[in-house]
Amino acid sequence: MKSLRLFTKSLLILLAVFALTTLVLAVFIAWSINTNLTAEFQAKGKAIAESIAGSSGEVLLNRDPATVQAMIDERRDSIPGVAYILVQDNYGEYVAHTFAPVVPEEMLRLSGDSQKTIIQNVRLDGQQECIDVCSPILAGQVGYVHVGMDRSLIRQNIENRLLQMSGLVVCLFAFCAGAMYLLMRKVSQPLQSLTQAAARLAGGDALMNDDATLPEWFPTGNGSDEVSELTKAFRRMILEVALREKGLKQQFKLLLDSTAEALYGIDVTGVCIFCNPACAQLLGYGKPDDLLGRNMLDLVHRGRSTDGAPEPSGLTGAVRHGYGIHVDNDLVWRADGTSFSAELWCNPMHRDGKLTGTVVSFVDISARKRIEAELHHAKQAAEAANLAKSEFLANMSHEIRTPMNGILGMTELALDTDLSKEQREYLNAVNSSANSLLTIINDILDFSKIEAGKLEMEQIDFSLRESIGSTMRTLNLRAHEKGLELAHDISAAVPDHLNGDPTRLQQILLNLVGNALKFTQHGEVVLSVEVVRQSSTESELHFIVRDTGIGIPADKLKLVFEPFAQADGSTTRRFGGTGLGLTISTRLVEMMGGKIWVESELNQGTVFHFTARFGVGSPGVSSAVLALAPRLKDIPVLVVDDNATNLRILKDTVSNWLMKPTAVDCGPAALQALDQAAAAKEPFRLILLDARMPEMDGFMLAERIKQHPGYEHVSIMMLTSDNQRGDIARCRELGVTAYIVKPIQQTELLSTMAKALRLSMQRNGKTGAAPLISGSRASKRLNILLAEDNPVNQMVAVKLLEKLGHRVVVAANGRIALNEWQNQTFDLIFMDVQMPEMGGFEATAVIRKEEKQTGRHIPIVAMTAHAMKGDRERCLAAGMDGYLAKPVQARDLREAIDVFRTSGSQTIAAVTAETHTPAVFDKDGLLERVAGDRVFLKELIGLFIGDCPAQLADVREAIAQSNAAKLRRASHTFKGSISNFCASTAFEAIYRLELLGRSGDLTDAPSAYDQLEAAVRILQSSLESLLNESAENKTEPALAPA
Amino acid sequence: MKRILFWIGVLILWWPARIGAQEIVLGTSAAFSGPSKGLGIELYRGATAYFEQVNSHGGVHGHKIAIKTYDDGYNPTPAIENTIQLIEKDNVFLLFNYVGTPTVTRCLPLLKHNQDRSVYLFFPFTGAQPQRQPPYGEFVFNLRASYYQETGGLVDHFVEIGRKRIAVFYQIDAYGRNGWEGVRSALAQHGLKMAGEATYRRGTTYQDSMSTQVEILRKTEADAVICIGSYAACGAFVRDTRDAGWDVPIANVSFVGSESMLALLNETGRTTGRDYTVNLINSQVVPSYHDLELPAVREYRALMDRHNPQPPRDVQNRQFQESAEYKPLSYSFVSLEGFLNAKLLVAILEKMGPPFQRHRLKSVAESLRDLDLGAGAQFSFGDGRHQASDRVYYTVVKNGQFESLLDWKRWQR
Repeated sequence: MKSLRLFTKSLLILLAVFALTTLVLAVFIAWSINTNLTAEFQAKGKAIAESIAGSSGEVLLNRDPATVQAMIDERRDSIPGVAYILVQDNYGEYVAHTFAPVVPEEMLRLSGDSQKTIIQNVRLDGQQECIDVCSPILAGQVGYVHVGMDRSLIRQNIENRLLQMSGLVVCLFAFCAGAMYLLMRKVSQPLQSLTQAAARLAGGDALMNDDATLPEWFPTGNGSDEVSELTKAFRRMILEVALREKGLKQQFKLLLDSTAEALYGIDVTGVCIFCNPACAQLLGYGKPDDLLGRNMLDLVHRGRSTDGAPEPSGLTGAVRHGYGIHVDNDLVWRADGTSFSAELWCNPMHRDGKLTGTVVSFVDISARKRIEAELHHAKQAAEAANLAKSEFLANMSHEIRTPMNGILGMTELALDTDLSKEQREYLNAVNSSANSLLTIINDILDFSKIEAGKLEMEQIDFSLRESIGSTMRTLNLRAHEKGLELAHDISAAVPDHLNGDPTRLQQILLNLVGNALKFTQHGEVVLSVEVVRQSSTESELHFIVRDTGIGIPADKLKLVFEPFAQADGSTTRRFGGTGLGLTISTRLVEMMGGKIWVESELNQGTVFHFTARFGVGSPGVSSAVLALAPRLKDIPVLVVDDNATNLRILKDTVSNWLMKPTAVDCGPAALQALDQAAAAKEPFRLILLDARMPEMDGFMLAERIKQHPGYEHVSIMMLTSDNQRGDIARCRELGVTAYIVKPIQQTELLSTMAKALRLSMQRNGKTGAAPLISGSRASKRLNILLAEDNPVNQMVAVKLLEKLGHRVVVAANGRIALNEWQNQTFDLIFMDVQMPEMGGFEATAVIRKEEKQTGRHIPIVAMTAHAMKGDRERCLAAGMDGYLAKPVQARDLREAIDVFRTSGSQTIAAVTAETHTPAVFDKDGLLERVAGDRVFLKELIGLFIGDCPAQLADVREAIAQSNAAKLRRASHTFKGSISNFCASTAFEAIYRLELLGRSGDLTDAPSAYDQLEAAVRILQSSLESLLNESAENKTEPALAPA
Repeated sequence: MKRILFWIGVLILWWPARIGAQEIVLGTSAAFSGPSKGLGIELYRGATAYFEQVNSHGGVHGHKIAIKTYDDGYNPTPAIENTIQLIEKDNVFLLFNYVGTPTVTRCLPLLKHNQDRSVYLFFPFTGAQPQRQPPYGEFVFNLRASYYQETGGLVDHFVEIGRKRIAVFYQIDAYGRNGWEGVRSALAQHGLKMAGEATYRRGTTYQDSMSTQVEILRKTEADAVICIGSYAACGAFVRDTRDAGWDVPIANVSFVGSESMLALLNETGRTTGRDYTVNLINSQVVPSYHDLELPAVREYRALMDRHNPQPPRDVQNRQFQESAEYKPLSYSFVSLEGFLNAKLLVAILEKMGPPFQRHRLKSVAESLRDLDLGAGAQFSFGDGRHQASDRVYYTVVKNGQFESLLDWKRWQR
């Protein structure tokens, strides 16, 4: 078969060679015959023509066409290749010719030459190709002879020759093919027998005898030709291969025998073809041979059926269709009828692309299964325990905080009563201990949250300086108590507006600085902040807390960050604390993308470093507060402080905001200044009062001022270095608007002042009456609903709120609270979250649902003991407006009231209602604001008119850019300027723009801007006319006291 | 092969005996096969009828006349070969009854070549010029009128009745070309030119189509056509002309073999139902064999009836394999011509008397004057005159046979 194929191939090649040769030969022969015959024909034709011409002259002269005809007939008949002969006389008429039926027209066109014989080609009747030979007779005098030689003869000749050649070639080809076939047979027969022998070997026929020789039927290759050499080489190769195969088999067997994994091979039907001892042993058979030839699928893998009926395992499909599988837990049956779990792998075997069987390996995993089950149980138990722990922590948080709330609240209340010195000391100790306990509890909760991975960082915008300021203020008291200097130094390069978790930053700082204070007996504690790295999206800051305390021994430096460890066991005893603070700080720092480390020298001091990364924040609260500054312009303020430095700082600060401060260093001087101002018709609207002064302290002065007729409504801000509990109550009692704890932060001072002054301005704009700021609004009696089930906490909260001057209605649960809310009108609700019967969330939901019909919104502040992150979110989700963590302290309550009293739709409604005044501006109000100071008024108006185009341009640009935020800022600033002039129309227009900017919808902005521009133009002209007017009747400006 | 050799041997042994028996052997090369075999055979039969009569009465001066026949199939080359055989090998007394212009014309140089041996050709069946003029005229004796005379007569008659546009259909060889020249020169006498011409090749059979030639000539708007050809081709031409619906008068010359052509046309007419003999004119050089008033005609018919001569049996050099046996005609213009040829030759031989020597032939024949063979005209030779008769007869077909044409007026234009 193969030799035949070889023969066919060779035959094809031979055929191709012959065909090519034939073609080339044919072309050559055709060409050569054509050339030769053409030449011959021409010569022949020439000879004929010339002979006729030579012998016909006389005949023609005799006018004997028959003779001429006979002559040409003779030539034409006797000479092969002559197609025609034609004799013309000298008139061109035909004397004789051989054409039938007529002389073709082509002949007319043939020309002759009288001097010589010429040869030309002619095609007769468009078919017959001829060589025309034309000879003149008697130099053309008598006529011409045309002899046509037929080219078709040439072609015929060529065809004949080619036919002959083809025949010859075919014979030659047949001979060659035959010879080749014989040769091929001679070569291919041994090859074929070799092939057959090889196939027989491949088919599994006894490959070799044991003595490593080939079977007798295998060709021996006795000759010396190439085929014999091939046969011999083949024999050698097969012996080699056989030996190798034998070795491989031995290796394979060794491998099978020595592997611990059970391994067997089956064919496609599942019959075992090999199997290793481990397999036999695992399956409970004596030796591998016991399994050979048995169907493993039926025997071993009969599935999990319980009723005895075989159930195909996943293996069956894999074996049948030839894919590999991994069964994690399969059931394998032993010889004795028992079964065990096994992990099983199978891989298909292929030979020549055809599936021949599958190799299966498996291991007994019953032991592993058992361990897994045990582990599973253990894990479940552990999880349950963990769950219980979390549950316990949450409960404990609640359970501890509730009594703590009672302790702290009652202590504070008790301290506010008349007590003996001894009693006050005891209660102070209780308060201090309770606070310490709260701190410890908070630490532990934080730590547990961190350990549980439940602590999450907030991502909010905040002011770094403000945050640090408030933190340092908190710590200042302790520093002060210990006589330590506490300072902070924030590098100018440090950005203020950051995005991150300010609360957690404060926690770290409190901890580090608190520790520093704790471990420092003399000297100072300094916090400094530097920039490590800054980009457009991120800032990395480096915080350093340096103290001059006892220091930490070098070998303990690493330990300080470990939980429950302090530098010395004794330290705990000496200084108290859980020792968790640094651990918590470490984790917090890590969560802020920073690291923490410490440098210390014993008895020299300790330096704590940490870095933290923050996002870039947008100007937030503080900027808004700063934006208030223009509104403070020209407001007369009295500053009272006995400390010259503090006095100067305060005066400079408010001067920066263009207020008109009058600084005095004692109470009597203050009273005198007040009187002078009143006399000068330029009364103070605000008094900044230091609480601690010799002789007449702040409280006494405040009392005197409030008692003074005409001064009841002046705003008093108390500045105090220590945050005595009683001070707040006293402030409230005296009608002091606010108090600020030193060191004073500018932003805090500003916001506090602005808050107070904004209220007075509203009143001012509405009534256009007395210039004095009334504190009554700030201390307005609110109707507050308190929903709280715990009686102690009820009492604490009621007392605190009543102390702040509010009316409180108590509800023991959500349902009662709901009833109360439906029956009375309240300004604010404090809502405990966990209450019997109806919880805070549920009650809030009902309230919010009912409010949807009325369109009202009562602020609801949650009180929760959970103190876990997520509580806030849950509260807000429930429709609450704020959230306080228990134990609730008086300050928290007050702040909450301050926040929610002024928020809400009522306030905005009030603003819009107030500004419906048709006048261009309130001239009287303006004059009142400048206290009749026309020089100042002139300056003010000049400033406004000068500044107006730029501010208008800012607003216009913001609208053109459709930049809502920019519009909001620009119009807010401009609003501040306009508000100076009590110009209601302009104010309304700019306020509308600000609201539009806040809403983000700028559709109506252009029209609002047009209104604004018109109003501002009118305002400008009015102000100018006012200037002229004031220039005419010059009034002496009131002089401020120096 | 052996049989042929045997017969040759027999012949060689037998031949001298025959000479010894006082025989005058004539040599003939003619068409005994092929499309024109009718001419050769009928000419032979007519001559044989007379020779048998002479021989049966003791011969000419005791010498019997025998004819040695060779077939040339109406082709020149075999004719030349045959002639060489007859002259050199057979050593015949004279050459007799050759058929055809191309054959005879090509053999003429052989006569001149053998003029030392005084080889003469008597009465070839052709009216061509070459054997009537130098350089070969002196070696040939003709009985019949020339083609020039036949064609000239036809042209004269046609012109006379107003048919001046005369076209020629002719065999493209010496014969046809000779007739063509005859028509041309006759027209030139009247100051006319040939209206058109068309040729065919020698060897054309009756089955071949002559439509192309008919079309060519019809386009010339000829009002008469003169055919110079063989009976097969001319018959085909007549057939195709009539089939094409062209009723122009068609004239044939004597060589055509009128009866052979008529037989073909009649046969076709029987199948198609058309009369192909209308407007068909044949010129003859012998009188009609229906003219029983002529003693020669009566004698001819009697001898033909009596001897009923068969085609020659031992024809040498046969050219064509014949499938069907030739059916001899009872009477024909050709056999009558052969008969007259034989009678004239016998008259010459009688006059010559023994010893029959070749070199005497020319002078004896040239001395013959005004011999009346009973054919209605006197036959004369002379010095330089080697044609015995100038008479041309015109015939038309009537009632299936040729009759003398007396009234040309019916084709008057």
